[in-house]
Amino acid sequence: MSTTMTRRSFMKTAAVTGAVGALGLGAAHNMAPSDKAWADNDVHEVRTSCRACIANCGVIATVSNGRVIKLRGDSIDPMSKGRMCPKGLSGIQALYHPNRNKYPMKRVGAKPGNQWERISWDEAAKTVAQHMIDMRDKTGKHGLLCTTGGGGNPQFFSPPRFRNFWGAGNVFEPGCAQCYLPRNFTMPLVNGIGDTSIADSGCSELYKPAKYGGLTEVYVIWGTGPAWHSPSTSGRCVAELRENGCKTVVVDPRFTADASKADVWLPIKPGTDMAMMLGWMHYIIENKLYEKIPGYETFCEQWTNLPFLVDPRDNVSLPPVAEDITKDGQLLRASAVFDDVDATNEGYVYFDTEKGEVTKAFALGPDNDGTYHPQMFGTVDVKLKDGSTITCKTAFEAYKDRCADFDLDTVAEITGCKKEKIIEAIELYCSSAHGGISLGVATDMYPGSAQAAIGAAALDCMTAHLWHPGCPANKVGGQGSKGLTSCESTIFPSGFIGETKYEFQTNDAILERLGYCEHKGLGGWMHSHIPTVLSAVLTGEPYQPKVWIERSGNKMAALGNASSWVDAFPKFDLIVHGYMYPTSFTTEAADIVFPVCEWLENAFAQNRLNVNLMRKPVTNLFEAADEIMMWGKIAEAMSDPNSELYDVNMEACMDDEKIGSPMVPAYWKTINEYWDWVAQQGGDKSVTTMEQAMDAFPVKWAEDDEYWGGTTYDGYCQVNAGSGVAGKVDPGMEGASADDGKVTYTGFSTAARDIKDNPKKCGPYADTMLYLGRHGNEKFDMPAAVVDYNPMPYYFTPEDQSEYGDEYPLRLTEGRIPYFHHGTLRNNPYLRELYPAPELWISPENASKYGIVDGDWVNIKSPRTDGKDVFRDITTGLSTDTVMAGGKDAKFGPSEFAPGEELTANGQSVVKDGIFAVARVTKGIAEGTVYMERFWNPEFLEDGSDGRKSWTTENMNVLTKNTGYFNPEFGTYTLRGIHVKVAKAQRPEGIWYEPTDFEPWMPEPTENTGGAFYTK
Amino acid sequence: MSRNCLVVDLDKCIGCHACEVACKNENGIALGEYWNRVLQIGPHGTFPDLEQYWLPVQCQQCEDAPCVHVCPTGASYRDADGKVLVDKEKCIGCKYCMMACPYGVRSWNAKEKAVEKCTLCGQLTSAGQEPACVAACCANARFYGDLDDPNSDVSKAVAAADPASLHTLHDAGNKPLTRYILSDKIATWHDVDAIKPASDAQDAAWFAKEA
Repeated sequence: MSTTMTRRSFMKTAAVTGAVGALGLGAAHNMAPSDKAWADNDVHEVRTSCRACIANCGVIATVSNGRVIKLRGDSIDPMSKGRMCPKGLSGIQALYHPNRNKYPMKRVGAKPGNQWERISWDEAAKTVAQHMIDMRDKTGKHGLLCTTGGGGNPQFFSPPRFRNFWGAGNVFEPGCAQCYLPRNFTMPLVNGIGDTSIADSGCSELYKPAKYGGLTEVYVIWGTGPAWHSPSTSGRCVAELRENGCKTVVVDPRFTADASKADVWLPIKPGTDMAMMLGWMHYIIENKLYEKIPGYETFCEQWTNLPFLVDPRDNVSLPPVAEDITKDGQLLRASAVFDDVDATNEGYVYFDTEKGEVTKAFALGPDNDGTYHPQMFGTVDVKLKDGSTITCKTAFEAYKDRCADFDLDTVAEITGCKKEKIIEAIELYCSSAHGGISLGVATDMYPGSAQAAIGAAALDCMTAHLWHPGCPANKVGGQGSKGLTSCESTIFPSGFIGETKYEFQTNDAILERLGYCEHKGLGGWMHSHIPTVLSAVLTGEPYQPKVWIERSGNKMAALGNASSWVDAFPKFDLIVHGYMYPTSFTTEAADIVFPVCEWLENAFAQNRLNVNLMRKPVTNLFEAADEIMMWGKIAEAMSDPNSELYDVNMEACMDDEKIGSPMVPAYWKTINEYWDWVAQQGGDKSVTTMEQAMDAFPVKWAEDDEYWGGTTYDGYCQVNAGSGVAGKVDPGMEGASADDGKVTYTGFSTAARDIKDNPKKCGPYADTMLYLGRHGNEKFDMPAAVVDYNPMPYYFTPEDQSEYGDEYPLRLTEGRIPYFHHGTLRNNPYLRELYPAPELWISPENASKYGIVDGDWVNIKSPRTDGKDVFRDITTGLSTDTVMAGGKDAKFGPSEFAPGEELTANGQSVVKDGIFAVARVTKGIAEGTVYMERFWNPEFLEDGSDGRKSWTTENMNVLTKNTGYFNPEFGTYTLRGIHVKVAKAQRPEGIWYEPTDFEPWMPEPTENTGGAFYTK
Repeated sequence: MSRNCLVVDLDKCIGCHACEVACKNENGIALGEYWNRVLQIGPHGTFPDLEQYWLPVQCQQCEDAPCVHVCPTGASYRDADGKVLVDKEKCIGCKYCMMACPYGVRSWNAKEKAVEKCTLCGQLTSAGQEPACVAACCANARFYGDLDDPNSDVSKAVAAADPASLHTLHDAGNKPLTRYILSDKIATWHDVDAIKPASDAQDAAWFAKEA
């Protein structure tokens, strides 16, 4: 092929003239010297994998004389089938953006500000090392804070990996508890399979080619927008499902693309998802739909824990926002009933209707499944072995009580959806077992995160939408015959999968993680609780975070109540930012900047069903490096025993032998060594170098027939002779296998960790979560959380509604658009041309009430911008050992249950004028609800601009709420379902809006330098 | 002569705008200029019983093309293969064709002082590849080919559709070739008869899209 086929390519290799000079950070000219000698007219293609979002679609990059000139989809990818979305298609503009961070920089002026000086990687790493060593010697290792989140293309686990190596400190990302972790952690503990987020985990079954039959027949798209979050992968997939006759229900406040093609659209009021779920359960129980699922009429009885008995003696503590809910607690343990049961063979119990007695629950097998006749509802008198008698509900009866008030008239009132539409949706959902619910990020973004995750997974359990053909909750894929395997080059932290030989961190250091003991779900990703971290930064209690290493997108656009962080920055000794471009966080907070790579420069082995893709370093610019090198070089700077900057842990983490775990590789000293390691993770043992991988990947490691034909549906009733190996759940939570020679079915493995005789049911009654809150999931027993993790979903009114609803009448939600991922690409000329400013969707009724017409600029304020809801002290007085409150009472000192003084009134005053958006007056949103997506304005980082305006002008995250209520399981704060007021306004000055405004950001192609730490 | 054109299945189109970005990348189109735009039609109806669809609009390859008729220099012409194209060497920038085009799909190239529009990515199709917008289309909703060839992707898509679901943009006798597939199950077809060229619009392109 020839480059001249493109009529007029902006990527043509004409010399770039004139300095960039727009931004302090980008002041160096884009033309960088290179030793690379290119053959004239060298044009070749590199088959790689996108990372403009988390979908990783296959891409073919055309490279001409070292420069990437064209991107198109790679049809070998069975998920994207060669399609490419606007985000991926913008990869070249992102790669050659004139404002790339090109070299390490150090701040030379005041904060906030934008004056920088180029330094070497060595100086940057040593500066960070010096601050870490000083901190260690003066106030201890726990002062380290590592963060991520907001987009980019990092190694997901880099921050906890570095923190674990260091030995103490905190990790957070604004996502995590507010985005995916609640579903990712909770749903497998309920359904025994995995989460059903089509945006994150794939829901592979939905991608099954039609010729294999058993396609998805009913698909509930709840709080997720596949058409717009990943158009080329999940959007394409759902479009094909619909084409193949799949019926869809969309639960979304917005009339999205998927909603406009759905059989039923439920325009739910933000924050009311749990009420809707309880309503579905109420209807399903009342109409006995759980035993009418075609072909799976006995699933609920045979395979769920709903017949198990609940222990009425358990005085479960209730969440402060819902203290009037039913008080059912943990499931009754068999050791309380039977003399021959103790901790070594602990189990659950049920009442057998045929035997007429309370019975220890057992794992079903072909020789005993006829003997299991559990009572599903009602109560049972149970004589305990101490001689007393208690009256126990079945877990299903407890559910019936929990949803008793949620008749569909009530639910229609709470959710704003029509009763008949809700019934239509439930009937459709229950019309086939071949389908299920994909729960999206919507519910993770408010404190119902755990409750909704339990609710959605429990609904799928009750109605047999599990592990059957067509179910999003499934285990898909057989083995190939080529000797190749699936792959992924995620690098794990120590202690994540098994332990390391070297002990990097103590149990005490784990307990010290801010907010962890109270919110133990955060342990799923080894993270801390963001508001607890913020309070510790501001008060110094229970200890002072001092060195902050951040390696991702714009925190000011991603953190809830973003302005509450302004006063936190001066409290740190050093703040580090690694990213591809400067962001608001860089100018507000950073002291040191590391230049990291765009996805076209990175390496990653990426599985896509039966194909392994390889993200390859297509080119490498300036002194940028994969973010893994930033962490590695900081560690390396402290690894020499003869240096003043020596730390014994940092020496160990540079050494594979000392670490002593194949799951936890040491840091790499050159980028080539890292690339080779990635190449070795590709699933092909014969490939040991990236050079080989350039040709060897992508590879189809199993034929379609092997892969799809090898899927075991209904695998829970696969005969499993004695091994007891069961469902894919967190290994720590899996009960010991009943390896006593009994022939059983595989079943599900969702029992709490103390259950040794696992009956292998899926667990809609989330005894697993309750147990987690009391004991944790570490290798040691953790102190119990003050508030129990309730085993069933519950609904509560969003706090903004009850506290500020009169003055701030509109309830705001967020949601994806096809142009951006998290905080990314707001500096991308073609995408900003398409979407130059955030839209505020508002109903015609509300618009007319506030005098707004379509296209007007509007001003939006919330209790946070108006100083009414200020972040408060929640850490003074917390235990220094466990970082926990003594109780819910203020007498124990300020905690999240009894916040103390206001801490961030000054910072929040920065946004007292509210923010701005363009009104889209549309019927596609309910009266009373408004929608706006995250935004920020990189144009204010150009020379001569006020950088602060980059995050205070159009950034809805200054409206959101980090001030509590935090849910017990994850400490999730409120990003959706906050309340706002809206008024007509003028277009804010200084923003770029007209298409030609974005001209300074058009790409400036530059040479392949190999990047930093390139040695060949 | 062939009848080469694009066919778009609006039942499938998910409004992701990949076709717009792919077009701009492939053809190096300047900011503020567009050969292909995706209009959002709707929502119409009474909440919550609404209808909405997305309408990608580019040169419709009219069989009786007004742009060719009004061009004083022959810059707008029909090639031997039947495709309506622009020879920019001959364009004098009078913009008559932009006024004559009922669909606003001709774009003024401010730098080159010439009118241009969708070329059906001849540089790609002549090499056996699909037009950029078709290749990128995330919902597999866009097709390219010759309506006179029953084996072409466009003919197959048209043949597979219910005749009641086949539409064209408002036809004032100019006979647009592009067929849109939209069934009543998704939405009622709206006859959009006046689409302003985005590059001449007062508002930002993004606003001009609401039709």
